[in-house]
Amino acid sequence: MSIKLYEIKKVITSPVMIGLIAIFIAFNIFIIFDGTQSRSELKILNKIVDKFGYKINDKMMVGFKLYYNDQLKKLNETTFEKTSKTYKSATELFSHDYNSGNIYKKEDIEFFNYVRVIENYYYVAKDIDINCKAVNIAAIGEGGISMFNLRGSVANTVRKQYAKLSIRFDKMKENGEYKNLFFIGKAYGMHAFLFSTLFKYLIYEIMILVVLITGYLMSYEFENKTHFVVYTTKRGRKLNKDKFYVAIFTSISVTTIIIGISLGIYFSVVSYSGLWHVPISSSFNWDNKLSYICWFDMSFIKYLFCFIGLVYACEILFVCITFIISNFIKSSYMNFFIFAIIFGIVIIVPSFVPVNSNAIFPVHFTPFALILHSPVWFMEKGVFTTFKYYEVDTIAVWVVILLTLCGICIRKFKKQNLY
Amino acid sequence: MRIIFNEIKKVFNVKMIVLIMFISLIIYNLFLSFGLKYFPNGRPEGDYYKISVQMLKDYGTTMDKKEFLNFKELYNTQIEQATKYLQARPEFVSAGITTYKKYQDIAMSPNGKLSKLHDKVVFDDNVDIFWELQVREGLINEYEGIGNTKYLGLNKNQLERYHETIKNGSITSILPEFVFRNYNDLIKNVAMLIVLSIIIMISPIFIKDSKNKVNYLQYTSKIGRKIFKIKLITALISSFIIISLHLICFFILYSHNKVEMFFSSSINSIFNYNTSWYNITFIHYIVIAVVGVYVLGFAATLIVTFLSRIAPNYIMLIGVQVPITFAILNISSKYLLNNLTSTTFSKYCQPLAYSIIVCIGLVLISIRWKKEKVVDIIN
Repeated sequence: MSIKLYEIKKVITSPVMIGLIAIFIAFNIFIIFDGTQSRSELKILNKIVDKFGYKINDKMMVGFKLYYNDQLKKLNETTFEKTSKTYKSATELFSHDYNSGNIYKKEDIEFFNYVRVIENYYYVAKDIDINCKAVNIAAIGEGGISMFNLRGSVANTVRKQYAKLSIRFDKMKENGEYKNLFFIGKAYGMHAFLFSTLFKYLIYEIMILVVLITGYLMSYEFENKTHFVVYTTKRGRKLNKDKFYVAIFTSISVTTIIIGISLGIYFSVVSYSGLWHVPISSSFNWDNKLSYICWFDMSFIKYLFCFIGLVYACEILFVCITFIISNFIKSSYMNFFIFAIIFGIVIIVPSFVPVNSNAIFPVHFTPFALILHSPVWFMEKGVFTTFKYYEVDTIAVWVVILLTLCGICIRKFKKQNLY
Repeated sequence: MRIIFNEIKKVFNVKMIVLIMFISLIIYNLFLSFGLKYFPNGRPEGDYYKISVQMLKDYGTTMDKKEFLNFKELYNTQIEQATKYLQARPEFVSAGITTYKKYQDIAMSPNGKLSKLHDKVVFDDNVDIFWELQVREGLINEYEGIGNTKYLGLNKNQLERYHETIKNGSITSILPEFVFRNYNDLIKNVAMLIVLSIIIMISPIFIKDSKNKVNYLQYTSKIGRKIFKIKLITALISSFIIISLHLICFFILYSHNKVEMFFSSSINSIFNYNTSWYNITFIHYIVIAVVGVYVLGFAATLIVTFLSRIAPNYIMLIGVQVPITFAILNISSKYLLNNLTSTTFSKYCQPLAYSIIVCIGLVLISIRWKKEKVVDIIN
């Protein structure tokens, strides 16, 4: 036990790890504050949800409409007093007369803006069925097929998957999963910000850290010239196993620290109160680029936890990959760059596989391809990776492969030459 | 001199060269191959390319008012051809589309049948004149929009410079936007590759010796502390070799893009949507960017050499370099090698950015050199 503790001590007392974690977290805080400029507008949704709930149905819409009309009336009273003009909508006010002198008080303008935001939510909620009808899953698949010029069995596989997703989408339409209030994706893009911008940074930051930690631990004895002392003892040859466990343990801790602090700050900046249980597939969430239609009926909080779980799994896989590399390369410097090269090679291999051979699917089932698709995990993500269990399958297969290889490496190390 | 040569041999060892080759290939595949393989990229960019090459042949590097009238005439004759094409097709005649104007209008029509008919000509039958007309229209609009600064959102200095380019006629030069953007994007990515290569190759220069305790021998020899300067010179020579090799490879590949006819066109061209602070041509721009890459590379070398000297171990070195590398790459793609001399930046912004990054390198090195003279060897 104490050996493991000493190994942990090597990592946590290394100033570079602490420094990097601090820099990364500072960077994330900057990203969070930079990306959520419309914080005050976002809060308005919490108020609406408090009043009417997030489920959109006829009863709710009646109440919402009354409330909106009421607010609009108040707005018109204020404007009529000052300029003897009335408006059909708050948007009209902002597009025409917003800049015409300082007639309105600051509070008035804040109130106008409040009405404008409510109006946006009201109209999106009103037109929700029309917007949802416009989405055609099979057509998205066909678009991808013609883009890559797919034929034969590959095209059929892709079509089958999109047909399955289409069935799921129909089910969504039936049970009204898409009819829930959430931040308007087209206006604020909160899903894209959280899961694509912020989490992309988180994943790469943690990846750099876990590769450094594993490489550091594994090459520690060689770089400090203690390997002849440590590895010549009977216990010493089992040290690799300890190092492996410690690498995984510290990586999990680092992941927890970085994700915990960053998300903690994010959720205290952007209030999700009342929205945690909104289904992730809510059509409010859709932005201009993508319709986020999830394969599973998940609430936001459940999706978030599944997402974080997947990040943990990916980082553990990266630890395993680095561990295997470091069994062959004794320098932590080379180790880092060889990991980068493997990353690069694995993501460019698919571009060399002919698109119409069935081999195109397996080359996308890699942990590196997985993290490239991170913004749309559990969702539609291009022709070659839209499978219901793509994420789970990838992780399962690679965990088995890499753990076996790690085991072989640990066993082989017992009889390995030291120089 | 002999030491420098041997140090260079140490920098360019086989392992490192293989590593760099792999990294270069990956970066080439991810960031460079597209701009080199698909130039001009499909339609209508290909048509635009053909038309602008023809324009250069007919009008020279700039297109004055008289030549513009000629260009418009060509446009009108092509419209006639298009009209003839439409009138010869029964499906268009029966739909009442007998002129090019009417054809244009149906593109946006909500009537699905009509818009399909529109798309058939350009996408299925790939009729050249219709693609070319589209490009010519755009060019005519741009040219006629010269002097119309209402929607450009320029400030006072930018506006002044814009009117200067109108006065000296460089705004009428013929340089399509995609030719310029293609080179700009490529050189940005080449600079990224070069900075990465320098960081990877030069980083071990001091740390390798101190890890192997060779520095004790070096310091007690006659050369002594001068070894710091010698290694610095080695680093600069090596990075010169790295930069030059990368640039040579890049320009060999880039020469297949066939843009040499645009070399003497001013980059202030209205078709390029870009106003430069100086009256420079495209070839000047290419050279300036190359000089920029060298300066950036040398600045990175200075910083890396400094870090290599003070880092106690490899992991520390990489750890410190990760944020620094991202910072350098970010600054270089946003300011140092992006639209050089463009009026979107203030006139002194980019030269200042270069001087700051070089100064950081020089200051770090000079501080270290002062310390190096008196530093305790065993620490």
